[in-house]
Amino acid sequence: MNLLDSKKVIICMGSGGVGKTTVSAALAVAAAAKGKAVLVLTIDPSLRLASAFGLDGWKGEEILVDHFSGHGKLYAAMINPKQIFDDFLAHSGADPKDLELILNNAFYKELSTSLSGTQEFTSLQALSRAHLNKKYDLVILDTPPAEHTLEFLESPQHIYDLFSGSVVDWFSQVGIKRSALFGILNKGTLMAFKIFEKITGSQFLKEMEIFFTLISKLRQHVKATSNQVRSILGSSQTAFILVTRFDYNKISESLRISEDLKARGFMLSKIVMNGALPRVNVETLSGTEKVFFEKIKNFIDFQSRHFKNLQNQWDQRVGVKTLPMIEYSEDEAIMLKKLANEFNHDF
Amino acid sequence: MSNIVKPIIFVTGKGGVGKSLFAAGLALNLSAKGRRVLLVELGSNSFYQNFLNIPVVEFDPRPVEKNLDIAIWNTDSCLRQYVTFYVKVEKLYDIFFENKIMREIINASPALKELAILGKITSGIREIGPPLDYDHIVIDSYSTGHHKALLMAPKGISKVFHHGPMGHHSQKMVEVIKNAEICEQVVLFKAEDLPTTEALELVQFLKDEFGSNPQLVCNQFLEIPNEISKSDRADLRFYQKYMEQQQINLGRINGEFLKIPYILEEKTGMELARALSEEHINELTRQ
Repeated sequence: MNLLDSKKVIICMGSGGVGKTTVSAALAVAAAAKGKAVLVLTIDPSLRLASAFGLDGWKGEEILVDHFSGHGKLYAAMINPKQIFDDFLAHSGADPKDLELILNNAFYKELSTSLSGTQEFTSLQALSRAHLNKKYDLVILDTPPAEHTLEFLESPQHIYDLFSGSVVDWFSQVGIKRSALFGILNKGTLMAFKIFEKITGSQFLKEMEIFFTLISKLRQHVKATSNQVRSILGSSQTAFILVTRFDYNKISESLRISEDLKARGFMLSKIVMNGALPRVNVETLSGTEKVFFEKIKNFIDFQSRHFKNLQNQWDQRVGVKTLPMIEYSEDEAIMLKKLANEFNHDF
Repeated sequence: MSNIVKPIIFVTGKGGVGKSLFAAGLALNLSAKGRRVLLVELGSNSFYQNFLNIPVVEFDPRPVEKNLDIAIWNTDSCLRQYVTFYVKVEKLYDIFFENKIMREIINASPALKELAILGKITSGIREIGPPLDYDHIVIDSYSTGHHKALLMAPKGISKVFHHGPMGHHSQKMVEVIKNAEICEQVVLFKAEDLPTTEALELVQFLKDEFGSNPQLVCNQFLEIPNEISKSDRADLRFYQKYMEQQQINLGRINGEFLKIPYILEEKTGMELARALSEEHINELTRQ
């Protein structure tokens, strides 16, 4: 059974610059061509993708992409972390007065957009909401670039720890009974606190204290969300795809990532090697052309050999799909369509 | 071509354009000229350890070859050194770092991670902490978005917190980044549509925010023989179009940039970095 037919969620992972967003979009186009109602959720897509979708001036709201809908329906939406965080708070059932304080807190303003882990968390939050929507047969998630590909899968736990962990308890206790500070803290924590204050200054700590005191009230809501996300990630109807580039070092890196994933209990469904230089028949060429394309051929063979060597060490259940670089066209939609065609058979 | 040989050299660009290889090539080039160079990678997992086949890469610099050392810096290690230096009492940092609550707070603090790393990079210049005895520090920095966040962290913090040590140090870091005598930004790109656009935007950003004049480097330029443009063979069309696009994208750039060809040889790791260093980087490092 191929992925586009059998899965409800496809998560595209990979390091920056490998073409995750384009591959996610092409997969969605391929799914819609098969008659699926599919949503592609992207984070910070390029203008070219918006333009390939025919969405000039698109702000990221969910939209039906008519000219790619095929027999099915192709929807696209852009993830806006700030907005998702704000919505998340609005639906948390917290006191409106507290909400206003949180939204105006300097710490929150930074946290909701720039803190590491928040992009991942909001992506999963958006995925979880879309997954519950019966309108879609399939949701494809383009993950944010991360230093480590796997950070993405750990983000629900990180955020959950942050909201429910001892930091929250600690600050909320300090907030309530400041005078009793010395009674609550053990000696080590007090010492650490003083060092932290010495490094950052008291103003910084004050803002943090307000923030953590407020979010301690959101604990239940965060817990419910984290559980929901974890159940989607663990579902057999969810597939993980690793997008990587047809390049010596990236090939080695993807081997390590697939092993790391396995160690965490997740199974990679496919590895997509993007951007291979197309092959040319050198037999019939002559002169400088022949020399050049022979060089290209040898180079591709060199990378392929390395790839085959590594593939022998890989888990045989992980299929690999190599995608060639697509011939440039002024019309981005044509390029996307060509890439989507590459997925028709084995996806 | 302008001279990029400054005490601190950041190498950045869109993901996948070859930053790490270029940074290694640049470091090798400078060290071969007799300069003492430290090549720095950021993060927790070393790329160079495998790539350059080095036994260990860690926080404290280790020699790779004559005049060239390598180190990997991340938030934890940088902050640890800073705290030790700041509180002056060796024992205290263990109390600080082994405290569970503190660990969570460090993880949650916006900009603190970036500040720790940038603080370490600029520590030699600011004369804080142990001296960094090098002529040049070459940083294999993050890709565009994260690199911006790294540089903007002290700017943001110094705006919000005027007083106290965080504000003070942040201000000093911004001064170092803005100082054209000290700090150079090398922006790598490929002559494809998106990477070129992203590089041009980054150059403008660095000019606007820090008054920098970054060095653009076009990497992996595919030198396709002109003859193929006349052919009507279908399997050559990709290369015909690619050639055309490369020229169009390079035409979008005002001013000078270095062009490095796609090295289509059966080389990898140190061999590849050395080829880059010896054959393609000299134009940038001539004094």
